[in-house]
Amino acid sequence: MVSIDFDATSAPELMPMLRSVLRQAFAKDVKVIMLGHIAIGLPLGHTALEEVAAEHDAEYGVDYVNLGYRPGYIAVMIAMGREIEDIFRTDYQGTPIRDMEITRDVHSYADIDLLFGFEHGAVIDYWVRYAQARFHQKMTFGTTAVMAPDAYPYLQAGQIEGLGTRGMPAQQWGHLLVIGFIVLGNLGYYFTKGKRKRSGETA
Amino acid sequence: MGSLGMIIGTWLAGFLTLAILSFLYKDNPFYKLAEHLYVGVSAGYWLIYVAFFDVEPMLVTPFMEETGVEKWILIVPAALGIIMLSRWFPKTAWLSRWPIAFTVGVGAGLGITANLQGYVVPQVQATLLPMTGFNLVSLNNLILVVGVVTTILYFYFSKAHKGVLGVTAKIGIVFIMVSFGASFGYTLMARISLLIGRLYFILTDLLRVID
Repeated sequence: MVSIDFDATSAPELMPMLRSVLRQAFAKDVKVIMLGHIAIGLPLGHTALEEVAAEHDAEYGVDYVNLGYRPGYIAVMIAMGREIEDIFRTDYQGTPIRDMEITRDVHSYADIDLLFGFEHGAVIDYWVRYAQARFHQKMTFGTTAVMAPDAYPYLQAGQIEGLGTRGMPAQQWGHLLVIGFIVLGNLGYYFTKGKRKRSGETA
Repeated sequence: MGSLGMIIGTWLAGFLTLAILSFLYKDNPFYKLAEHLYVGVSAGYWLIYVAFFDVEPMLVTPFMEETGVEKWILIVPAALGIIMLSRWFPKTAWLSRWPIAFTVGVGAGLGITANLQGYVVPQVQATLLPMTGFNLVSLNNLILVVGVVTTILYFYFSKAHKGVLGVTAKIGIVFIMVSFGASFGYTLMARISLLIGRLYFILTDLLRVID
């Protein structure tokens, strides 16, 4: 199960991760059930799903499905622990989930091997506290860099199986450049200290 | 060559990207246009999504198809939802406290157990670590335990931070600062990612400088 919990503001960070995970899933013949808790982000997830599915000749309703969006993270997560059909009677197109091969026998987290969440906000906390703690759903996440420090304690405590942390090389070079600018700025500040003191300027 | 729709979409996205980036120079009408457009489109999207992914499949369709208690129980959430809108009218605004109270009550009830079960207990458990032997794992465990204890002690304000408490609180500050530094570093990386994303779009899709 793939959860799209981000929108366009985090797309540059999370879309490459999402595409990689989907490619791995389809290459290994793993069924993909997509849903999302951020309404305006779900179309991004669906676009990636369709693109990658086409690369692997995957069939909608058999190899993958998009259940869509339901508001209220907590209610959705708890209801899915009992019966997914209670909250998702149909997929995003209105096709009943019991009419599709991929979801015909999927009832709760017990039928989901792994949840992979793509997170740019607090939804990760809800997944861990409601789906993992309560229903023991195995889960792993790909997060934005901002969210990573909040997610590490879950990994350290063994509450989640994994955390996508591999950065893009260009991003790392950008980071090093900013560190360089910070060092340069501080050196400039240090070497002009005496000059500013003489001119009576205060820091 | 893409379709006409794709070409127009790409140029529009390019214009909006440059309009947002123009804020780096100073606030201007192009930036304001792009900003307002983003807010408006997002609000519209939310409205459509809530109507088609919530109200229609969770309320309207079941109400038409279900029978008995399962049908009529739907009146309760529908009524609470409508009552929430009473906030728009000052004379009836007080009514909206009922659905808000319901939401807060459910949230608090679920939150208390979830926070204990899914956060407090596992995190405390993860801090009770063995520190025997001289190896990197023990050292890592020691740092973790010292960090947690000293950070908690920093937030103990019932006694002046002097003597032993003063020293431990100071060590706690170091751990807090390291944590802030990590968060700031990651935040910086996130912003660079966003910039890379936009520049990649401009160079590949818009200008086609990169294949």
